[in-house]
Amino acid sequence: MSNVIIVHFKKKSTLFIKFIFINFFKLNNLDLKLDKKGGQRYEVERKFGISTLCTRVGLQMIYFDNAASQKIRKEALETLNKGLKNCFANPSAKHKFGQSLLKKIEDHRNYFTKTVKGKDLYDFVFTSSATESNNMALLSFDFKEGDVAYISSSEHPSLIGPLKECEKRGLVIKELPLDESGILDQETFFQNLDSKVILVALSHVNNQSGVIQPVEEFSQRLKKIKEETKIHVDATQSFSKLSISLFDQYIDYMTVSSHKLGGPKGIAGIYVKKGVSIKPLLYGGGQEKNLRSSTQSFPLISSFTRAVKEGMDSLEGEYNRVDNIYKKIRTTLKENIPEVLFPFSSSDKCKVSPYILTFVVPNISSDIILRHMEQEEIYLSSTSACSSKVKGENTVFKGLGIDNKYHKNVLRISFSNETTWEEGKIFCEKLKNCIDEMSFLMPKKK
Amino acid sequence: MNVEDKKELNEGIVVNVDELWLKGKNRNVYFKALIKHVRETFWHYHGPDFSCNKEGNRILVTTKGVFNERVYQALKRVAGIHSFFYAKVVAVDDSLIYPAVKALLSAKESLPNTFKVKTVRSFKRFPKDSQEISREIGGKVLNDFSSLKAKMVNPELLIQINITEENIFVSVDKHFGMGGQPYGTTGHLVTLLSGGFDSPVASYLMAKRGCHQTFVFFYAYPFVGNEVKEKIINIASALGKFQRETRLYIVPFGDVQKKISQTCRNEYRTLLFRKYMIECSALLAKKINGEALCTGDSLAQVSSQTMGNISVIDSTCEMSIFRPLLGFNKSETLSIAKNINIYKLSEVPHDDACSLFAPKFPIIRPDKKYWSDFDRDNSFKDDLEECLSKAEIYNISILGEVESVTD
Repeated sequence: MSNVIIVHFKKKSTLFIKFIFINFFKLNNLDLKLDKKGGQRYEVERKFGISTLCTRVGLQMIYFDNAASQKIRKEALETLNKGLKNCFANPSAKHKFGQSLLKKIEDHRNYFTKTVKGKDLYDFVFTSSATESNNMALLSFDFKEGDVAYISSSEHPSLIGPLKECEKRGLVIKELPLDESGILDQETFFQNLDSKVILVALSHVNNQSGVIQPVEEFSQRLKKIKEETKIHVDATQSFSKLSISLFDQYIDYMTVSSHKLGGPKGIAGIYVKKGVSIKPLLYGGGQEKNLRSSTQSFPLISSFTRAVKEGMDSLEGEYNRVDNIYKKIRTTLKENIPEVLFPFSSSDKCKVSPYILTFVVPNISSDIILRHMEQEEIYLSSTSACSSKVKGENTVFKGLGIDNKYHKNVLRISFSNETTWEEGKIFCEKLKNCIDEMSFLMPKKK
Repeated sequence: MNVEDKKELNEGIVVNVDELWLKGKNRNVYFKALIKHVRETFWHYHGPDFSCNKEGNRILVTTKGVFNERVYQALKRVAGIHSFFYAKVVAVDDSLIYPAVKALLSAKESLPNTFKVKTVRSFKRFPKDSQEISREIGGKVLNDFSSLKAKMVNPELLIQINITEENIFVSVDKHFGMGGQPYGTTGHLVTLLSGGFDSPVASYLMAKRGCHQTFVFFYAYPFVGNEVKEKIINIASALGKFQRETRLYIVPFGDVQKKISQTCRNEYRTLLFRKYMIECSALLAKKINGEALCTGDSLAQVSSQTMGNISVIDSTCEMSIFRPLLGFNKSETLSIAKNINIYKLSEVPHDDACSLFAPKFPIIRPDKKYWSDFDRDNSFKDDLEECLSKAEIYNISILGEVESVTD
């Protein structure tokens, strides 16, 4: 994107003034877009002494918050547009227009099971969000009072929330142990395994740390000891970015979401192993094999599938490309800002997804950095919505083993297929400037 | 018009005006202002079906419908009202008093156990004296309402009879207003809000004294975030209910604070932020015809509120600064905050840029020479003008509705 300046002329301003103004920008090789609405006033206004209101739009946005939500992929957007425009029938309708859409939805569903080698072994249900998928699974599995479910407190609230609901009905929740690097501590887990274990819920990639849990290996080990235990995997952050296979059928439920991988928002899904209990959250017309009543959104489903296909087809190449950027950003940050800490690192024992980079800037509130960066059109995540005056710890960070004193200093950047090293370079530079300025303004207090 | 009709029409809320006895020839101005505010209150909290008129030294509001509880609450936020009560208004005729009392008592959902009749007679030529009327009415009440017992000290129900030259007011309940001067009669203040407890209470005290206020908040983005802005909007909305119509200016101040910090000696940072906030508010006041500024300073509460610091700030400010809380203890401020429903809003924790920038040892006894030199050598006028021009402006209605003026 090139620099674009939107100019709002006052009613009085003459054509001549507009002419001079436009020519100035042409001489300076700047594009000019005339717009009726003005917003932020820009310096140019004063420099010219012309009655103008200018808005600076053209700062190239650097979007490093892809783990929160990713921009829709070009191809997925095309599919979505086409779907919205042409495929508007209700897939439950009797006529051939509707029936043809229903047929296509089944094809998409088959793609989902096929792509994780789970064809004929798993059902796939389209839902509205990963939160819905997680709720559906975690409110469905059968348990008796006193049965034990394991979950790490570092998990996403959409996993913890429904289990807390089950706790009211007598489920016992135990902490799934992580070691200091943020990875599942299998030794401790299996040594102290409760014989009443009924379910383990975990994310394939933790949305905050980026640590990749060895779900396949772990599930296999657990199933060998206790076959009836259910395993729920939230693959929201990893699907179509890291490879995962359901071929061995160790996993019972798996959640995937569209907007985290370049699909549209409002669509997600869940894999359910055949024969495993699953109950609907919504009742009505009986769509999705009675598991989710609601008119199916063909445009969303087809666009979601398209985005997954794009990701799956370039999975390995993209992984390596992003990994390369990840490493460069990490090194540059460390060089530029020596005090920066990285709580999670890849090692022999532990692997971290290159799509998520979490770091700590000691002594400076992450919210302040976030807002300084947003002024430069750079978007990242600080996760702590709480104010600096609130004394209290972040349970997710605590679960991940981050020292309490750093809970207000944790920042996360996350990448996508569109991320480039150029952006990374600018990011590192801007972050350094921002931190230098802050250190001057906010002297350390002891 | 026969007596029966008049009685039927005249019942409503009687409003007593505060501090009227202090006023001389300007009484009418005060009445006009108060009636305007009362009318607006009824219009918004009751609806168009009412009439509001001066009735002797009181204001009488009548309706064909029923007054709701919201109106009573809203009247407690109208400055200049001493008290108000729901009353029947009858002609100056002895025989009309008891029927009115009976009707009011019968309309009550439940009656307490004890009562007292109190008669005030400003019309001294009325044939019966106060004691006589009270006794007579009391006797009739005891007769008709067997559950009620007379009690002279701390009765649960007070039946009031006010005899004036024009009318007799009969009421069975009484509410106290906030008192003070009618809204808008004492001038236009620019009130600096901070998000704490003090400034909203200061604003309330000045509202009580009849000031029209415009609120200004200095928003230290990007050092503080949106949640602070939301908090301020909520507080301003609550304070706006004490006025007929007001505005909130949210002035982006982060860049100015950054610039000040880079220019001044560390220990003067907080104090200079204050100076330029005051200066910016004064600039705003000039633009919108404000006559003075108002802050929530309490003497020596924090380091920037020492006598020395308050005086240097005043020394470089052309405009008067009202500080109604100077002599208040924190606990006194907090108890007012609770009374006016501000406490819960101010309690919400938020980031404060001043404390982020705060030096380890802030100045307590400022060097006057440094202060005047700094004032002479540095002008932030352009910056202040600029941030004022970028201010977000919100209109706040008497109902506390907030509407953005800038887009």
